[in-house]
Amino acid sequence: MIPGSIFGFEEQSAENPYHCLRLCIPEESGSYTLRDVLSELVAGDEQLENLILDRKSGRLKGNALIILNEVHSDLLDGLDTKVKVGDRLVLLYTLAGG
Amino acid sequence: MNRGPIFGYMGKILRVDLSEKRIWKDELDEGTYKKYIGGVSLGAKSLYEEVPPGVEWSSPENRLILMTGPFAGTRISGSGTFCALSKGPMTNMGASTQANGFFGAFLRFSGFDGLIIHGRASSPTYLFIHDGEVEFKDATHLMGNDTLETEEAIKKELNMGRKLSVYAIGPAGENLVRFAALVGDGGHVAAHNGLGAVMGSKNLKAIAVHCGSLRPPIKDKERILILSKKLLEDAKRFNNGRLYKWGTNNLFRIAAKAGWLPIKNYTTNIIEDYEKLTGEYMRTHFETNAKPCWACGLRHVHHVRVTEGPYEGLEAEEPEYECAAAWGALTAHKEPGTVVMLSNMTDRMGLDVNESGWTIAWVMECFEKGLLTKKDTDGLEMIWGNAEATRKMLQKIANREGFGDILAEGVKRASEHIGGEAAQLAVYTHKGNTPRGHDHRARWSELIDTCLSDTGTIESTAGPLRPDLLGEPPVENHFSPKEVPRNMALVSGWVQFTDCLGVCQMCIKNPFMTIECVEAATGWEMDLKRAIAVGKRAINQLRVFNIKHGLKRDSERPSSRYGSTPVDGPVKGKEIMPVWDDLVRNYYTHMGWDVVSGKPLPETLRALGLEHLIAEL
Repeated sequence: MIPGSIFGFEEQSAENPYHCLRLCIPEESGSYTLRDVLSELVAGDEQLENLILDRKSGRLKGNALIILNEVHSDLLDGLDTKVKVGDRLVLLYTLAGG
Repeated sequence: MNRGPIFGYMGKILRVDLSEKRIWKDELDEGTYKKYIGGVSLGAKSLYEEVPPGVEWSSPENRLILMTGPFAGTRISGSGTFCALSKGPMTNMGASTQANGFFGAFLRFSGFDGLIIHGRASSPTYLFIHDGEVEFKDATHLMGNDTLETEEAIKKELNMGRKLSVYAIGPAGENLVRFAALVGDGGHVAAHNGLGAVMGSKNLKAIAVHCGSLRPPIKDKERILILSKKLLEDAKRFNNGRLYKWGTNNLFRIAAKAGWLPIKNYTTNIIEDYEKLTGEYMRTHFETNAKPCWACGLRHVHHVRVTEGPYEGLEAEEPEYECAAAWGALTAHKEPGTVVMLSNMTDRMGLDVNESGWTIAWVMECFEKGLLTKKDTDGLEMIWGNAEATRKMLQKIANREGFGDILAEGVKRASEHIGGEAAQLAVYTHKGNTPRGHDHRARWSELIDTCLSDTGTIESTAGPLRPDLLGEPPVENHFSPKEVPRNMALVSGWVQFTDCLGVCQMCIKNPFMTIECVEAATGWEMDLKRAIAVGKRAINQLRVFNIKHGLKRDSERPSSRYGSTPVDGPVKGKEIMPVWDDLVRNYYTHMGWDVVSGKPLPETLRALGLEHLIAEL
């Protein structure tokens, strides 16, 4: 199980500021990556996929980023970063300030 | 002989000489409009041609240039925007900054695409522009008034209410505070690089423009209407509707999680108990009403009434993200009403909120470390989160009183004045400007842009680096010294193009629809490549201006604190300075600039139709 949060989505409110995720991965898996997690997350949800992933390149869109265990995923191995049970994942969705 | 209309334009630039109390009108040809479009690009051309090296920012020979573009005053949401340019006091080089509201639309309704102000008035003056003419009005009785008081007084005096747009300076501009801003339409701000001080140096308190009866000729009105609706719907949906629902301060929570919220002067990247500072909290706990700009259905700006805490009952403009970053995270104020109060004070005094925040945060850190004491700060206890001390210090800065006179020079000069360890703690670029309200150590693209741009703020990016919005692959690693500058150069030009149009950036989030709108307004063929060339023309024009006005490569770098390594948070330990030279060299290369000097190469200028600048370098 991976506990996670998604920030930056429409349904948020002051009372419910983020979605919580609990993603299941194989307990003993040593090869499960962030890319695999995202694939499962967006499976069957085309809208979510369009929001966060560039289908052609398979990369995160420019306004999406992932913090894994309080570390920016680009400082790890990007979407190829290995994940394990108990990791904490935050998916963020952002724009410019005014 | 009367010429036919130039679609998308009023066809005239208004010139006002304050020294001679004289006005005249320049008629521009279609070729010039087509090449420069408007806003920053057209303004940069005038700045370059009319302000030679040796003219200082406070000299009467400096120009204050306010430019609109082909969208201004149309039905496109947020098309009341204008772009202000000058030689700015923070960098002593080119300045370009935008403000929303109504002014841009009303200037067009008075018959002009732009306004260029020359000279210096012999006594305090405000301008009243209406029906294609200008009145020079005495402003002696307005001196000392804050920006909102000035706006109200002029509206009352001219008896025009909402039919009038007023942009004014406050005490900060009058006292030539280097980071004074132009403030108008009830709290909109042209903030960066001190153009309020330029206006103050011209003895010009305010500019009032009547909502006249003229309208810009539009080539295809029906198409503009259809596209306006599509652009609005797209903007409402942008980033999953968060901007529309919560305003720009929806970002606070996200910035906090992502590590790019600026917290306590870059001493940490972790913030606790920040829920009350978010846009979500303010919109659900305070009384707010939408306060739209010209033709705007996005209405991201709201009016707010504080309903709790020590400032209960205060009514003001809702703090946008930049205000919440400065007066919440950066200076460690925890109480949301305080953020409203300080944002309101900043606007009223006529100060740039970013520079104000960096300056006060630096003072607070110095105070905490014992590098400044109450003896230095005129008795004010400048501890983190002291709202009343912050309020009083802002007033001191605006009036150049006591310690405020040192701070009025901006954080770079103030920290150099104090010297010693204190000088190492300030966040700025060596050009003299400061970042927007972010911790850019977690967003390298904007750190590079802030240091290398020629405007006194950013120019190539606007928030996250988004080549994907222009149909290119997204950036894979946002900390790559190769990939980041290459992609910055790739998108460079788009943001400046949008600053040519006379419209709020929040309202034109889809580049391809935006380009279609330009075609519908002007009747010209436009595509992404042409649009980016217009923006790159502005960038290179301003760069050549800056080089002639003293820009050196050595100044294109962050201060030691701005380029320091985060000690905690999501980018803990990530160092930028070991790769800084690579980042700069790669950006120069991809921009078509000399890798040693940063000067645009002849072939770069030639490709942009700026061959006349080659001999100038």
